[in-house]
Order: sequence, then structure tokens, then C-alpha cells
Amino acid sequence: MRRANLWNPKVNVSRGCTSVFNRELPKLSSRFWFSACLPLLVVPCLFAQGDDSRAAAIQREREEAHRQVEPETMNRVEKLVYEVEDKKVLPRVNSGWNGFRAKIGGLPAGGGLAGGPEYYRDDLLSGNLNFRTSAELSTNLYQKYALQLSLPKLAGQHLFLDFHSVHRNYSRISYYGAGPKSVKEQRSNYRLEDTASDVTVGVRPTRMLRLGGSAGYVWVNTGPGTDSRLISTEKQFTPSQAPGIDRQTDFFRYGGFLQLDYRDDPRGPKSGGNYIAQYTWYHDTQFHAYGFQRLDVHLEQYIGLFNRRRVFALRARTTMTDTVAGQVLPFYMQPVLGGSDDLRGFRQFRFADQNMLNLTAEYRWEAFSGLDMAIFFDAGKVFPTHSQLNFSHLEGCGGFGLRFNLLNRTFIRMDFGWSREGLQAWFKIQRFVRTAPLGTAGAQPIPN
Amino acid sequence: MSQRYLHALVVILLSSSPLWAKKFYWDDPLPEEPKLVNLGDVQVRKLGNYYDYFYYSLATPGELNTKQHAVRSRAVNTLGEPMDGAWYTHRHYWHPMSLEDLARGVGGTTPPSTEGVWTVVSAKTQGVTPGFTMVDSKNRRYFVKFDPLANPEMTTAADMISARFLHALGYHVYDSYLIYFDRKQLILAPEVEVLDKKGRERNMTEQDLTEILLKTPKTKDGKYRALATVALPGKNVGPFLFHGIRWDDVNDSTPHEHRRDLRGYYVFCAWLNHDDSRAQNTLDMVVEQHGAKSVRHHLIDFGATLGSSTTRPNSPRAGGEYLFSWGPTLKEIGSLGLWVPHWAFAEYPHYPSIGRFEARVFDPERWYPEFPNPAFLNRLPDDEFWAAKQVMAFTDDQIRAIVKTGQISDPAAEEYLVDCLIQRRDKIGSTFFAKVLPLDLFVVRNGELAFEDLAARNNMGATGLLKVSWSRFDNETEQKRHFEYPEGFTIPVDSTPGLETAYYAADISREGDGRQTVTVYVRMRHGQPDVVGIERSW
Repeated sequence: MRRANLWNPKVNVSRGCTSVFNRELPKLSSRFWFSACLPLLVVPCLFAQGDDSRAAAIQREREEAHRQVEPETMNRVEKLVYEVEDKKVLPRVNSGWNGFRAKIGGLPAGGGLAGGPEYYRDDLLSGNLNFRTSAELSTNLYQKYALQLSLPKLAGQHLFLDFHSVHRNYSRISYYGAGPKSVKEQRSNYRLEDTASDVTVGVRPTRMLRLGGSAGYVWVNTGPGTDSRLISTEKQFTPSQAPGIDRQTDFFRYGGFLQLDYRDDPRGPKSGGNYIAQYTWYHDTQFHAYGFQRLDVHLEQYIGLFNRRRVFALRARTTMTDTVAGQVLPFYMQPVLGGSDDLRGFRQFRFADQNMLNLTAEYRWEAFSGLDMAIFFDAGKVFPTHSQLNFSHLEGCGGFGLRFNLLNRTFIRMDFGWSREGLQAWFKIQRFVRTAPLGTAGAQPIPN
Repeated sequence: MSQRYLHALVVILLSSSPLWAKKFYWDDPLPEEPKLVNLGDVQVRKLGNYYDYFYYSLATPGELNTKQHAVRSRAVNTLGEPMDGAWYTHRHYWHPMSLEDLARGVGGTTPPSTEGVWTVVSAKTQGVTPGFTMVDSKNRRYFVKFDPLANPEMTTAADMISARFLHALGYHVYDSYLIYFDRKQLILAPEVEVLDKKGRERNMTEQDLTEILLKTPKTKDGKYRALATVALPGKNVGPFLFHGIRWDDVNDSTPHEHRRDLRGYYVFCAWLNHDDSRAQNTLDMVVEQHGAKSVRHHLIDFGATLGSSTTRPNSPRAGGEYLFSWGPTLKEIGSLGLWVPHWAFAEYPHYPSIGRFEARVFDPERWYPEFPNPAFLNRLPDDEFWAAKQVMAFTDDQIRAIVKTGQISDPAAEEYLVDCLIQRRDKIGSTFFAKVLPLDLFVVRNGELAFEDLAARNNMGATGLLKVSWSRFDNETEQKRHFEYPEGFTIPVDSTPGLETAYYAADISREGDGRQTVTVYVRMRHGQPDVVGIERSW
């Protein structure tokens, strides 16, 4: 085999190769150039890529991985969400500014979406005095102004004192007439405007037990309702059918209460019970015509299963009234039934009479950590005499609900109830079974 | 001819793949990461909790494994081990730590000095978990966190214990101490700003400090108990993510969802019930070593581990399910709650200092963090085995020693926690050792390939009769050529003359069951055999 003479170009010309190198440079064979260039080109390339080791390979991998990496940026949504969190917007909204914060919801169904400012301090007297005042207006122009001073931690938390004053102006409260047989078509509406001031004092001998008494004064005014779709109550019902519609009075009220509460978490109970009984006397201070007494019994029981991921929530509630001889119970003080908190298949305040019984049962289960679902059945009736306190002739309805939670606190509740009168849908910014305030402030058809 | 040469040149020069592509390099297996590249500026990564939750719950970031396409873990050496470095350090499994070392954790020598007062230099008064930053008389900075009122010892104990486990398991964590002090131990630095509960940013007062302490439980002797964590060295550049790479850290080249140390972290989190193992609870620090700046990746905040959810006991859901996922949610809705998830059957004894932690219904395969984590989702049986073998390396006494550092005052509660950890450990071992051939710690000893049967070592039953099949392995072509060799685990004598280095592959499997195999590569260099590679299949 002939070996090429790399230093003699003539030797290789005969190969007929049109070398790119041989025009301006001395005629050298392409083989020569290949041999000469190979180390010049490859060796630096080898060094550029590293030596023959894993460490070098990893180094190359690092460089390769970062060759096409774009700088990390936040998209607009992420930036916005981050700013909301970083600036602590939600805690600031919740805690407010200098005690001022927004209050959303809490007015009776039918009032529309309600909101307004609230001023709240729980740091007065070294945290022993709570002060709260608020003003709320709803889309249907319901108004509520409240002032509350509380001393919840007296005597080592064994004694509590509360002053509560409220003015309410609800422009379209429904009234269907008294009695269990009132008809849907007789729906009317009236304005309820009242001002109440109550003082409550109580003792808490144990963590679960509270007993005490309260007294207060309430000024009541009623007037024509503003819902143009409905007839006004004074046009639909006579004073004999709706006592007190022609003249309103003021009441001095007082009473006592007892509460046994062993719920696991009162703001989101999943086990335990809450039993309340209270008796309240109402004295008509103007006409001595509308005085009455009222007994409220409220029993709640929660049975949690499977680590409280399934909960049976049971409630029985009754309100019985008794009038002073010769006096009558005014229509605006009649116990009511129907609506988002008791008979959810019926309209708000669908039934009213001297007495009321309500039974509800809910089965709740956790769909995921932010949502509980519920199936419920509600029953109840209003009745004119105490002897009718039994389980016959109950109105019933059933349905299902959704409760959106955050840290075991329901912040939105949606319930859909079916009854003989059709479907009712409720959207509330509060949980189901919100206990009325203890004492006289809670002993009225629409608790303060 | 010249064209041929030119073509060859072009091919050589344009080829992006190294000319020396081969399975093993001379320096394999690397015990440590190669020298880290000196970094320039590293940006501080901002990450919000809310976005993090929704992003990981509803999107699928990172390159996720599928049944059709599964990426084996990377950032490992040829033995399948993460290398010592910015992410991880081989510790207890490889170099058994003493009880004292386990209890000491990462530091253990710099608790806050009690010689002088502690100066509070910043604070958080809002929320249910207040805390503050303080400087001791030796000018060392500590972050101080407390227990919730209703659960004394729970959060601080969980943090102490889990930090020590995770340190022994190889991660970079902070140094932490339990401290007990009186109110008079604290003073307030001038002009400390706080955001108060009325939404005002103002100078902190002594009253604010008192109010923070009012929200914390006291010990029987009237002292406050808290967890003091030492500030990590270096510059804080924010958390790392469980997917992708950090764009401004050239040393970070493996997508995090493919890192073995992050995939295997699933098993550790399952063991310790660290369902809060999100990116927010990680921290990257730029550190300087030997004149070069690099990023070190840390795990932080272990208050929501074991039975604690930091501010309250764990929800029973914790570890049993994501906070939200479509499947279970639809089952819950569709069945009207009649379908009851397995975790709801757990029973929890009432130990306020423990919270909710149990071992009976714990299933290592069905443990979930609060929301999906791409690295956890990508884990493969070899990742699980890598982690499980480390969990199984803790003896009962070692677990007890670490739990003791939580200083739980109720002996029954402490023993319950120890029992749960032991039972959970054993479940992890039996679950993940069953998914691969549980042989490990391969070495060449007296001319034989020696190893540990981890199932047998941990009293889980021997793996059974093993068979080994030897091949010559061509490191350049990565081809195996089987040859008959009846000598079992004895290393074949090199019969290829003239070769400086030769490779052999031993395929080990159970007799009669070839599904699970371990292939061990032995390099014969100058007649000296070494285990150079391990691969598992299942």
C-alpha cells in the first residue's frame, strides 16, 4: 500500500481532488490539512467541553440547562395575589383600620345584601371591655344601627355584663296573617321600626353553664311596607286580625335565662350540645293592652361521626307566649316560622301565631376542606294554644345546602328547600343555627 | 478522500454530544457534587401562599411522569445516591449517628445565652401564632415561635423533633432550641415596628410584648416555653420550588421534580406527617464557601408536622387527602357523604401536646400533602426505596432519643408519639421494600460482591433465594455480554488481557421472579474491583 507523502503535494494532485486549500497556500494534500487541523480544532473543543470525567459532564449539563432558561417573572395574577398577601390586605380588612372595619350581612332575609361600617375595640381596659358600634344599610333599604358595650371577663370570667342598644328600620317585613292556616296569597308587608336598649348580667359558674337576667326597654313603631309588589299589611288585615297594627306601644321587658353549652367549637360546632331556656315578661307601658310573657326553649345537639367529618345537627326550638288577662299579643311580636333559619322550604316569616314549634335535622358531610354539604329536613308549626304543642299537623320541607368554610368557619351558606309551596333558595353570609343573643334582646321575633 | 475528511471534520465540530459519551467516567461514583460555580446576583424569589396553593392544586407544573413516560431520578451519582452538596448530605443511614448526635441536630451548641437579656428586634403581633425575632447578649439572632394556648408543647415539640429527623435524613435545616424564660428576660429594642390588630403600623410597646405572651401557654413553673431557631447563614433569596430549576443559579441544573432528594422527601414527609411540606417552607440561602458564592437549599418550619397544624391539632384530613382534589370531592358529593374516606376512620387519643397523629390507618402509599407536589407525584419505586431505607435506619431507641428533644412533659404522650413513629416507620419499610428488590450497601469484600438484604436486616422477612447473572459490560457501547459464570457473587477474574479497566454487570433477582432486579456494575481497575453503579428495575 502506497503511503502518501504529506509534504509533497504533487503526489496527491493525481487524486483529482479540488482542495479548498491548494489555491493560495502551497499545494498540500487535503489529507495533510485534515491531519494538521484535527488536533487544532478538536483539542480546544475538548478542553472547552471539559475533561473526560463525571464532574466535567455535570458542569456541561449545568451550562446546557441554563442556556435557554428565561428569567423568572411573576405573571399579573400571581403578582396581584402576592401583593394582597404580602400587604396583609385580608387581615387588614378583617381587623380594620384603627378599629374601623366593614360589616357584611346579618340583616333578615328579604332585606337584600347588607353592609356598613363597624367600629370595634376589644382592647379597652386591658382587654376587659369590648366596644362595638355599627351602621348597616341593605339593598332594600333595611337599616340597623347598633351599640354594644360588654364586660365579658369580670371576676375571672365568671361574671359578664352586656349593654346592647339597637335601632332597626326594616321596610318590608312579610306578614301572612296569624295561624297555621294562613294562605300564601295573603302575603302583605309592613315596616318595622324599633329601638331597644337592654342590659344583661350573668354568671358563669362553670365553663359550660351560664345563667342570668336582663332587662330593657323597646320602642316599637310599624308602618306601611315599601314592597310595591305586595299589599301593605294595614290594608290586608284589620286590627282584630293583626293586633297592634293601628297603634304601637313601648315595652319594658325583663327576664331570666339559663344556658348549658358544651359544643366543641361554638362558631363551628361538630359535636356537643347547646340548651337554652329563657323567660321574658313584656309590659306595655303605654296602653296596658299588649303585655305578654314569652318562653323560649332552644335545644341543639351535634353528633359527629368519623372524626366529625359527618355531623348530624339536630335542633328543637319552641316559643310559647301567654298574654296578661285582657291583653293581646301584637302581631309584630308573634313568634314566626319560615325562612332561612327554620322552615327553609317556606318564605321568610311565612307563619305567625301565639306559639311556635320548630324541628330541624341536618346531615352534613365534608366534600373537601373548604366545603360542607348538607341534607336537611325541617318541620314546624305555629299554633294558638299551648295544648297544641305536639307533633301533629307539622309543616315539613326538605332540601340540601352548601356551606363554604375557612378554618371551620362558614362564611357563605346556600340552602335550597322544597315544600308544598315550592322551592326556596337562600344565600346567607352566616352559618345555620346562629343562636340569638341571650336575654331580652333575643326574646323577640326578629332577634337583635 | 478529502471530502470524506471534511465531512468527518464537520461532523466532529458540529456534534453537540461529547465524543466520550459512556456510562461510567473514571471519577464515578461521585460522592459530592462537583465544585459549585461562583454565582453573581441571585434574585429574591417571592412566593405567595394563596397563589402557591391554587397553582399547584389546579395546574400541573413541571414535567410529570406518566405510565407511558417515566423519568428516572436525576441529580444522583451512578450508585443512585444524591451527592453531598447544596441540597443534601449523606448522614445517618451511611454513617450511623450516635444518640447524642441525633438529638443535637444540625448545631446544638449555640442556644440563646442566658447570661443577659434578650432584645426583641421585630415581632408579629397579629394572628394566632405570634412570635418575634430576638438578639441575645452575644449578638446572635433567633426567631422565636410559641405553642397555641390550647395545645402547650405541641408545635414547638413537633418542630424540634422533625428538624432533627430531617437533619439526620440528610437535609439542610436550621438549628433550633427549646427555651424557657420569664417575661423579665425580654426587653424591647427601640423603634421596633409592628402591624397591630387595628391595622396600624406603629412602634411596638411593652404592652404588645405582654400581649404576645398572653397568647402563649405557660409551663407549670410559670415560664414561657418557645422554640428559638438560629438564623440561617447567608443571604435569604426566598424559597425553592418543587419543579423546574432556579434560573439564576447555574449550579441548579436538574428540574426539581426529577431530584431524588425531593422525590424521596415524600416518604419522609409521610413518616412525619409533614403535610405542610410546600415551597413556602423551604428557603434558599446564598452562602460563600472558599471564596465562591452558591445557593444552599434548606427545609424550614416544621411546626405543622406530626400531630400539629401549628395553631391547632391537625385536621383528621391532614395527610389523608389533599385540601382539594376532584376525585374524592366528587365521590363525597355523589355519594351524599355515604362514601367515607379511609382517613376518617382514624382514632386519636387526647394528648394536647401531640395533637392528631396516629399509625393505625396510616398508609404510606396513600399519604398526601396539602396540595399536589410535582416532585412527590414523580416518585418511582426506587425513589421510595431510597427514602424508606433511611427511615428504616432509625432504631426504636434512636427514635425515642429524638422524640425526647421535644421535651413533652406528659410521659404517656411522649411514648404514644414514639410508638406511632415506630409503627409508621415499619409500614414505610414493608410498603416500599416490597416494590423493589431491597438489597443495598453493595461492596466488594474478599473478592465477592457483598450487600445487605434490608428486609432481612429489619426483620421483615428475607428477600428469598437470589440468583445472579454476570455480564461483561462495554462502557463505550453500554452493551452487556452475558457469560456463564457459576461462582455466584464472586467477582469474575478479569480475563481480557491488555485492558486497563473492565466492567462487569451482575443482574440480581429472586429465584423464579425476574421482575425486580438490581444490576450492580463492578469496575475492575488495575485488578482492583469496585462497585461503580447500581440500577434497579421493578
